[in-house]
Amino acid sequence: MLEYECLTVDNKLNCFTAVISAHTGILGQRDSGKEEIFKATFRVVKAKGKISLDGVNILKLGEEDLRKILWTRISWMPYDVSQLFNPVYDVASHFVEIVVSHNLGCSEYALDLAKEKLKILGLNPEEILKSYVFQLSPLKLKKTAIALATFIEPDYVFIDDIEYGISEVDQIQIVNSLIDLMSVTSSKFLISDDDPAVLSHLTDEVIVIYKGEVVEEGYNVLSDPLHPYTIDVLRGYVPPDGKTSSGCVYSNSCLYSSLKCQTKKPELIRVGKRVVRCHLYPNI
Amino acid sequence: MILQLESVYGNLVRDISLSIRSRELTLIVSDWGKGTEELSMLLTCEIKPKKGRIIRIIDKKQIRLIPREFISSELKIKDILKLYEKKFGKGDEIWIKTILGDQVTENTKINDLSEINKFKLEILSIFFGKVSLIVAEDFLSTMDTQLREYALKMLVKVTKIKSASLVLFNPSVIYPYVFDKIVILFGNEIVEESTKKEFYHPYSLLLQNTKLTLGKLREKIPIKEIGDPSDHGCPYHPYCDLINKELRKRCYTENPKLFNVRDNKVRCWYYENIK
Repeated sequence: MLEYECLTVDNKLNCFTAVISAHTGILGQRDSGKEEIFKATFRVVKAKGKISLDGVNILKLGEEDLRKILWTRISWMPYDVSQLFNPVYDVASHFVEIVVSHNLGCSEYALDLAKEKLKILGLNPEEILKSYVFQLSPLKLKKTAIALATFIEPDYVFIDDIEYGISEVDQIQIVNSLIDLMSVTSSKFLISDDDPAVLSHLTDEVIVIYKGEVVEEGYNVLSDPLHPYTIDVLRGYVPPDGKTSSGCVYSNSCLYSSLKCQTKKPELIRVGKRVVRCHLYPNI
Repeated sequence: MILQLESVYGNLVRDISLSIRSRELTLIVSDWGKGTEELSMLLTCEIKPKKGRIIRIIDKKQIRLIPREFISSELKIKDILKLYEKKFGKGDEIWIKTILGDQVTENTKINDLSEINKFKLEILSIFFGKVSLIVAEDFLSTMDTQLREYALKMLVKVTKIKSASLVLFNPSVIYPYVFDKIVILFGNEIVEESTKKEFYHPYSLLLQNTKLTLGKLREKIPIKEIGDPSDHGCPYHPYCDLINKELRKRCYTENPKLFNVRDNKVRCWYYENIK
């Protein structure tokens, strides 16, 4: 079980609390703080709070213990997938390096696992494994990165912005491939994206983040949104960068904003099967 | 006409013929890769073609590039503005202040800027010196979905204020009504050029009709899988719906020329005898 308890990254993420028990989507724009959740989990940024993986706080792990769980228990596909690869090594070397460095087996075993996943993703394993990253098209590179993040079936796979830098045709192919992959792997996926359409096909539960704060969370968030920010995201237009107020983080851009919204911070309240942070919904 | 590419070949791009007229807005639709990067450099005159000719009647200093990746630096906005002034000439103070808005000052560090403000800083280069052509790499595909419309509107507005021409790269057909001309690339060559927002090439039609929309959980979206271009015959022939018994041999073995179809130019054997 992966649990976040008041995870805070200075000026970027404010007391993020969640239990990840299903394929979960994190919806928000690039500056929303969603990326900080991933970065904090992989200890790329300094964070306060607790990230508990089966009771063990990732933030307190020693370097060696952290290295042991990377790839085997948690893995990450960043939005710019070229960061995952070393351009001077062929693709096969990356799969082998992970397996061998974690004492999981030999290079043949690594390549067998890699071929399996690459096939599921609709790629030609022989061609991909002998290629270097600069030889791959954006679509193939993204699919190869997904294979790398999932091939030893970690408990949690973090996928950041599927649609970054690829065409809509390619995005659809990635979404379809992930649906195939989810049906054969035991890994839980945490997918962060700014496009609700991507998340609607892939995730059971959705957490909506704006300016570092969770504004809505739960099931059916995309089919029946409650928070004005979620509604604006689904409509496809969010007013850029409103000034921040001492109240609700979205109060300066919100169509339903009142004086109360500008001055008093709303609490997360339960509405049916979800929670929402908005004064429009009375805390009953 | 301010820039014309006549059957230009580079290391990757092939047979690119493209005219950029004054004040014209052109969208080039292609996945971003080494080929499109090369085409961008040919348009900004950073490199010379291997074969073919580029006729340019404007000075190279009148071309601005909006890169795919926005600037990331510990420098302050004022440092970049000084750099623009040194490179392109005096800046237009009023527009610079208007574009930046009142939330950022010239002393703000670039790394502290939001994505949209970094974009604004990039387009500020247009307000320094004389500008005739703006070449924008596919920065929209790297931006948040919800900011794209705003960013595109701003870029088009700025282009019109400066009476310049715009060439924008993007991997999908977006807001077609904004552009005077849409050019579709597949396999690093032009497969269609359209001025009336109508498309005939099967790849253009696929791009035009593909839309990722909200759907049901684990519901796959029906789509034709498009792989690498073929290295023989028509680059699109492995994925083409228009191939019939009569056309098969030609599509598999010969790369078609661009044929005129109504107001479009289409690289497809199917349209050889259809006007």
